[in-house]
Amino acid sequence: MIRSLQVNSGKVVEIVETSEAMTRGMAVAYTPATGKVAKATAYAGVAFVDVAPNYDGINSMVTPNDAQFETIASGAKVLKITPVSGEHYATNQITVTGLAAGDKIEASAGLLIKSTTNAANAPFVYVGAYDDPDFTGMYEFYVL
Amino acid sequence: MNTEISSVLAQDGKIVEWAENVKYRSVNMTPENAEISEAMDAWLKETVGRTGTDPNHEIAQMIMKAITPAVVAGASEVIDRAFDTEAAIGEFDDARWEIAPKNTIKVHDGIVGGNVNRSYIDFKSVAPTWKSLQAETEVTLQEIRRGGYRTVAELINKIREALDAKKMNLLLTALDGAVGATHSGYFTESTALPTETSAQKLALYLMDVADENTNGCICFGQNKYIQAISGLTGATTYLTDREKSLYNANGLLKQYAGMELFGYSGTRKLPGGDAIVPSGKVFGVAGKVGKVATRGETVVLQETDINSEKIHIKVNGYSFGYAITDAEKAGKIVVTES
Repeated sequence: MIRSLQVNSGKVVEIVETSEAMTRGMAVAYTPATGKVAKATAYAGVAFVDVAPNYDGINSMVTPNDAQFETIASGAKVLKITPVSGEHYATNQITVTGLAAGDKIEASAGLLIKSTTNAANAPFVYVGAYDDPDFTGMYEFYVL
Repeated sequence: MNTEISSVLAQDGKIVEWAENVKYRSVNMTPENAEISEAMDAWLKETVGRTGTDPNHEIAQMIMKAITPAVVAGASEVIDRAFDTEAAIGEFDDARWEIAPKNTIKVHDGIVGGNVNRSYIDFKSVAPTWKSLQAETEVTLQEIRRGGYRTVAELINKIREALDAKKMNLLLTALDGAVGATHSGYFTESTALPTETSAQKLALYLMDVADENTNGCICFGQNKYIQAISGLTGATTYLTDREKSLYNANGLLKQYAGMELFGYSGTRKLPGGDAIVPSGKVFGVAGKVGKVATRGETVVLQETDINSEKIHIKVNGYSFGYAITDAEKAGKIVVTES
């Protein structure tokens, strides 16, 4: 899950395809040539995946909640959120062990983790826990 | 369709009545409210949901109508009885309030034709603590197309309730802070619940500090404490028939030793985990302890982002100031939580 806490409105939200199965809110790397995203292991050029809720099957009868669209299949169409400097997001696709507020974070296999060797260049800063209606392990980060 | 959204907006309090009707008594809609729902639904689903345009920002206007001071101020009886909530000032104004001075004129036993020592009364004023509450949220156009009028009714209710709860929490925090350990109305309790000794002490204290402006003493806290007070020895003796049936209905008394009792949920919390009414404390108030003023009017802004197909709603300027002008009129029991 990824929540937009304070974001620029009006920016593009490109529709892209996944090249592997992943979870909503994961950090991804985008290849413009193929229009596909894959789990990122990088500190720069990272985007995040979000999904559009669908109203298929039972969802046409019962309104689905935000927590029901977590798993993303390989080859699915997803929304690519490009973080812009100055924004705040909250995600649960993060390893918080050993993280303290103010630590730099980067992506590793789709998850955000503490940045060590790339700390000087990592674009995200860990802020702290975020209260969410659907998930308990949500944490806020800031985009430098 | 004979109901226009703008005519609904023009009526004071109508939008709140409608939103609450939808939320709490939707099987029992009044014909008028049902018609509003219909108009709302058609407008939301067709105009807003399908074209993303709400040129007059009517969703924002509806939320604004729901949180104007007149609607929100009456939210809680306890706040109304503990604070003077009448004042409302302009957005760019400030206020100073007078603290009721003690009568310190000393009277001497004298004879005609001479002097005695003068004594003085000191008038003090206090500056309120200003708070400006703000909340932001977003709603997708997809949700508006699907949920129609219910989505908006729910949004109006939730935003209003959240602001109310936060305001109440801030005021109670101020009240709590005003009764410190050195305050003469501060009573500690070594057990987890108030006992007869501490409840009687609080009642006696309130009775003593009550003056001609006091309109009854009140005692409030989380339900568990009010329940404990209701179960104290002798509390249920000499009840009238009406009080008995109330007591039988929920196990809580209306009154104890001259204090009217008000219980609050211990499970309802603010996002973030703080209880709205703090745990571990039972408050007592004899008359107005402070003042609350509303400053300016709430601003609700909305913008549609067609890229992500969402409406961003921003509520700010829910601004109010408070000050404790007579801390002596408040007391509290602090229990020992395990």
